[in-house]
Amino acid sequence: MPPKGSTKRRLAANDDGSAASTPTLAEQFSYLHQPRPFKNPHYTKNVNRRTKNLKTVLTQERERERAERERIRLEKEGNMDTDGQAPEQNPADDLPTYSSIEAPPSVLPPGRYCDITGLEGPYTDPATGLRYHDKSIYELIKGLSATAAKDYLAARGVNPIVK
Amino acid sequence: MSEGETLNITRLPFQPLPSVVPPDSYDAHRSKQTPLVIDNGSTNLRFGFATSSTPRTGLNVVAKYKERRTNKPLLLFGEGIEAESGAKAQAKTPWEGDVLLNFDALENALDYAFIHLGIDTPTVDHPVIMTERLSSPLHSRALTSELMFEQYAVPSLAYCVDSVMSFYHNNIPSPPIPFTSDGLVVSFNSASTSVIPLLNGKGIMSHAKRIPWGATQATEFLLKLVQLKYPTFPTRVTTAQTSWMLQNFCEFAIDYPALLRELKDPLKLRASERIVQFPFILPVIEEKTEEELARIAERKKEQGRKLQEIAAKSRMEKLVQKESDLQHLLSLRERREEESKKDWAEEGFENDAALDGAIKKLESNLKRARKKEADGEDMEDEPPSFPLIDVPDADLDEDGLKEKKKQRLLRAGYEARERARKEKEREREEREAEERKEEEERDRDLAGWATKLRKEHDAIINKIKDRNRRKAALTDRKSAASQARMKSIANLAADERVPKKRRKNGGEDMFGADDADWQIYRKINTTAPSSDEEDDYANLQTVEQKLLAYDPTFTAEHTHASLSSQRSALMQAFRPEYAEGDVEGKTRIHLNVERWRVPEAWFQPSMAGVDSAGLGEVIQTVLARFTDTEKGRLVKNVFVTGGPSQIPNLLPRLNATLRPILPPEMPLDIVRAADPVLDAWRGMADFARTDELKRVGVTKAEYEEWGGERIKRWWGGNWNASVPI
Repeated sequence: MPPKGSTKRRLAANDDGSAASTPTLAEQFSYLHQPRPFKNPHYTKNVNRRTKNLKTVLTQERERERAERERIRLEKEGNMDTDGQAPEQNPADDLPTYSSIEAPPSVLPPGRYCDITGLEGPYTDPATGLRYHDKSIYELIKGLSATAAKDYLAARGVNPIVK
Repeated sequence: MSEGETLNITRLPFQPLPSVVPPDSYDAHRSKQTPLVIDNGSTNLRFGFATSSTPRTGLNVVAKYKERRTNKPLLLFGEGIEAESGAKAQAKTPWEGDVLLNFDALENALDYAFIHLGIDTPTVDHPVIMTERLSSPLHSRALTSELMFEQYAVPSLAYCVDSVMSFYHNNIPSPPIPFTSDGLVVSFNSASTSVIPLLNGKGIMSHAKRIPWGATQATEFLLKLVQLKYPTFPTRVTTAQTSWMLQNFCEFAIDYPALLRELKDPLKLRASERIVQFPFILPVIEEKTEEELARIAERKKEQGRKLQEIAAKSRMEKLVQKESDLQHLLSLRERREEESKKDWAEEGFENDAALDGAIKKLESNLKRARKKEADGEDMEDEPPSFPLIDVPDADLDEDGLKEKKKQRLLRAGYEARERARKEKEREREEREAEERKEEEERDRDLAGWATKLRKEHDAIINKIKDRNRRKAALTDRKSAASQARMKSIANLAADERVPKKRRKNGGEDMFGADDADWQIYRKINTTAPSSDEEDDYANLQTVEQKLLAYDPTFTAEHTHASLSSQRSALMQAFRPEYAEGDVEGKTRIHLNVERWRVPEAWFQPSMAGVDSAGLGEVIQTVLARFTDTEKGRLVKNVFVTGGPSQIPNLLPRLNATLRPILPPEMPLDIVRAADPVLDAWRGMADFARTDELKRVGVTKAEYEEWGGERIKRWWGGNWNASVPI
């Protein structure tokens, strides 16, 4: 990035005389042309800085974590006593990573809630799979179009297979 | 919607334009090496020197925008983006959920921070303490370190976890007592919620857990629910507006199933709603005054009259034309004797008969037209005479026979028309007689007549309902009606009425001889609408009209149309309907069940489709890895922090969730941070003011040796890729 210390502050209307002399609100906010002396002019944009996708970053992390764990396991095996007294330590104890920290899936049974109103939904409509609270809601469901039913299901996270 | 109640209507807040804040003066900190504290949050960036009591905050978004009119490039940060509407599309944030990905944006954000702190030295000559997420991915950390050390040349950089620092701030010991508090920190962030245990003042990061549900996911969930509830809402609801709704109207339910059971009652549902009024534009109705209306009516009548005059004139002209033609033909006939055949051929008539025929036609036309002009009404057809019919065939020649056939046809047609007319008259008389009878009955006994009609009405409605039910049943493959239909089809195909022998010899299929056979097609063909349906609806209409006109107790509500479109009281309370022209009403959003449904997703993420354990379960899992004594120490100080923790009723709900899973004699105490949003920064500033910062930060030399990923392990930082001090 070229050094920015040399550009003037942009309050003077010296570019085009026809422009308004007072800058607009957005221009007042803009700090594009303010001096930034604290930046290192010799620092070049590292190729690593290309913005990576979230998925690639996470897979990369996972790969590295697995490699680390392998390495530690092999080390431990190498250091084991002849009568195998080395305690089996869970590597996760020492190496929490972004993915190992994630909460496990729920073991509690999921609550049954009406997809339309949010109240209790003990019944399920066999045609669309929507849960409903009572008869009147069922009448409403019968009148829904296929896309509307799919939208309701998507809000719950159930994505029906496209036939 | 009853006018008597006070409805909880809140208008959407008007966002004022942001104001420019001038940068601070640097003089206070020049050459003093005051530590710089940066809380790099997913929503807000908070920064400042460790000696200030509050940080400067800004939304953590950056936009590089080129203004189209003046063609000037702009770089905007945080609230400044609101100043330029086109910049919002170009806004980029360094965070994607919980992972720092976009380093250009981060660089620009940090530039803004340093500019506004007034730094004008060639390097940022202050030790820096920055936040990162729980067990942040090493990629993010490496690039942040690279940015800080290479671009800004800071002398040292320390990373910490924001919620632990907030805990520190709220449990700060007075020196020289070291920090040895125990506690369970529940951190509510924008894109995740984490549970971190602390024992002896040290964060045990390996036992911490993170739920992928935070404020942004909750906002999206609420937006989805609102869109499903109001699919035809006139304006677009933005994420910022939804987040405002989440912060102001939603709360945690202390006992969710009990609350749902209570809200089943439509009255309670109505009472619990909050209405958000979106901006709307009243349509301008052109009110025509009386005189304008009168003028318009006059103009229409004038036009009508003029058209009539024009029509009359053209008729007159045609009449005159016809008369002149007749004259011409008559003169032609007179001259017949005098002229030769050649001249005749010019006129186009072959012989006398054709000429006579043409003359007769014209004469009759003229007569009719003249009579119409004179009377203005239809003429009675004189019974035309058919003289030739009675003459026997033998007497006539060829032409005469043709004439006779023609006359016979004409007579048949004439008689048929007479018969039809008489039939119509008869029917009319019958109908009048019936109506008169009904009126008499009505006058005599209104109640009896009304009940008779009502029974008819009910019977028709029942028939319609039955038919609908049968139609619905036919679509279901396994229903009895559908199976009966299949049986009849199979029977038709088998057709046992024709014995096998005859079929082989090409025997005839006697299917259609019996009229009842054709009825079977009505049963089989499900798609064709049967005429019965239309008849039923027509009858229903007439019955309803009569009832509406004469029976005072039968109102519009009882008609079939309104009965079938009636919504239940529950649906009406859940999503009240407004009349067609009510523009104000149509731009309202009623939040009733959503107020509790959305925050409930923190405790049951499966409600929103996230396959993860909820907060209660995760806390239980985290606690399970400790011994009982340690558990006791942890739950005595459950600490809640983070922006979303300000949603009301969180603490009672946590209490209700945790109390059952702990032994009854264990004391449970839940506490919220004094300032859930800024306390993390304050904790970092407190820590930066002590001597400890020097020990835990990575210096430039260490960075150059180890690279960007390795940090020192200390009580407030992450453990991944860390080395013990």
